Amino acid sequence: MILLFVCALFLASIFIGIPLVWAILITAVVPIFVFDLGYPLQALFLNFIGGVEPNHYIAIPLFIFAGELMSRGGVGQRIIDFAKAAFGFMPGGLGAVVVGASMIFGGISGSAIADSAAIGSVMIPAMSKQGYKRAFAGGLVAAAGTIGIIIPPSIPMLIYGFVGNVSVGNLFLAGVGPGILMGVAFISVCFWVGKSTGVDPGGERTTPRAFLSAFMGSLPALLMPVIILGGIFSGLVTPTEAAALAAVYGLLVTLFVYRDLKVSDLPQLLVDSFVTSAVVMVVIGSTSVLAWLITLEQMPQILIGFVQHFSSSPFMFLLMVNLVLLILGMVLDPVPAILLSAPLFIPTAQAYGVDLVHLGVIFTTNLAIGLFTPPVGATLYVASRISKVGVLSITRAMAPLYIAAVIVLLLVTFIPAISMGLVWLIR
Amino acid sequence: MDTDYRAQYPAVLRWLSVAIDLAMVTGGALIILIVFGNAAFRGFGFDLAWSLEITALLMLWVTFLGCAAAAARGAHMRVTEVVAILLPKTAQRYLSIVLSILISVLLLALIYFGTITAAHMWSETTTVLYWPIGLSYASLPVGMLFTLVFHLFNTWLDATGHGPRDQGQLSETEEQGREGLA
Repeated sequence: MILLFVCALFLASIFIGIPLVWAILITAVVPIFVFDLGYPLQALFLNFIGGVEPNHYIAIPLFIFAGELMSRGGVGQRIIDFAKAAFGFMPGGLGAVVVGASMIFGGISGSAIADSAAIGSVMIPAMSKQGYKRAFAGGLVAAAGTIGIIIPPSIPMLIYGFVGNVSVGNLFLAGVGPGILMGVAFISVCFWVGKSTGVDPGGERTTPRAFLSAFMGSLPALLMPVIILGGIFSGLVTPTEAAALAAVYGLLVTLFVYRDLKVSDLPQLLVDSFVTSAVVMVVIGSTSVLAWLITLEQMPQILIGFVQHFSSSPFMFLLMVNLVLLILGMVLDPVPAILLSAPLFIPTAQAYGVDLVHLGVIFTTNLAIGLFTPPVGATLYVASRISKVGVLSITRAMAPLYIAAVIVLLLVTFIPAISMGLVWLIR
Repeated sequence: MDTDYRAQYPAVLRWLSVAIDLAMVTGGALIILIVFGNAAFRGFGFDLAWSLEITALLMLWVTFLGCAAAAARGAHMRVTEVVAILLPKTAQRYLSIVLSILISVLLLALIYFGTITAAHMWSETTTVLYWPIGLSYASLPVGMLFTLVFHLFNTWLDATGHGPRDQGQLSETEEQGREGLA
């Protein structure tokens, strides 16, 4: 009963427009009075501040700052040049460039929205000029941009790792396979669209010299994920220190190598990054309050009992996880969706023997799809704004991309080797 | 684009907003430098034991001041599409006032309990620098106080038809949501 009440109250608070941080706190406070639970209100404060306090959370603003640095300069154009050299020759080549560039850019910025904005502003007009429908071009940018949160570094994965006490390094590694698979699936759709409509039959192959030149131009940016993953896996730095390293490296590259930014731009960039981080952090704090209530009232146990009542098979459990997360992803951004659902699903997944790293990748893949599904799809809106096409038109044009994404999601869910292969290798 | 209220603020609130931004720039830059410095120094065999305490303190202050900065920018995450599509403008305004009162009560409770706890913890000190733990805990009531100030003024602007939405500045999501669903 209390679980149902909490879910209903939360959804009602969200849909009437209460900002997420306050909606979660209201969801945590009201049941204490309604069910006369007798918990002291001071505990709410202690859990709120305690939720923000852990030192490793410092990685969140630092990764956001590093991503902002790389997104604001001309890194996007250099990566597009490199992707054109790599994919431009094939049928549907311009679409493949969008996907390839998004995958690379995602590895640098870690943000789907930055990814869609940086790639979309250049590529949607280019695809439209080539003869692609603007709705498809926008849809492709919206979908491909979300690969950025599957491929490491990924802020949603970082947060899942902190919430679930799961190795961030392993999560980052586990995201590589599914990210590449999602990219290949989207490139296949582009190949089919380019060939079947005849708008993009493919161009000439790039000469090795031009390819090398494009590669060298984007190399300083391409080194960012290498430094982050290399630092963590070599044991030289913690994920938090890797984030600081990425921030300092990003500063050096954008200020002194690419010279896209001036020192005078930095204060604004810092404020923007730390405001974004604060918005996420206070939601983390409020979720800690809700998680405290959830734990005290043994809601995960209620959920486990409820799910096991229907089936004891992990297959059915994972199918249910996918369904719930897809629906949640339609109305919430990945970070709050993870913060709200992970405390409920992680104990249940453990009861079913599901690896928590694998579960983290399933979470991220589902919520990446949620980012380009209406009614609340952040990259969908970015692409809609750039392409100047309505969200519904873009959504209709994206049908083949949705099908490809759901197929990849099912493969990632039911073939653990896709995500866990690299993790098993290093374990 | 957020529904940024700062352009409509009187001078005092604009100064407060700028002061908060300055504090965040300083705090943010120090966090980056200290975390990076600690990693670099460890490479040479030094460990800056105080770095964890300072970065934890800065992080709390930057987060809760950032909460206020986000309120001024109308940047807190929220789902506005459902109300924007289902309710007429007048009903939206009344709903917004009711919700605003609810949020203000919540903020007042956080300020009250936060102040009591920070005062209570002021005599406790950290293990390396011997700084009062209450200094960290004070970040929440202070941040929430500034958030409340901005929140109340935002509510006033919305209620009197001077908010950014009334000036034709819709959030990107709302604007596109309407366009797409229309």
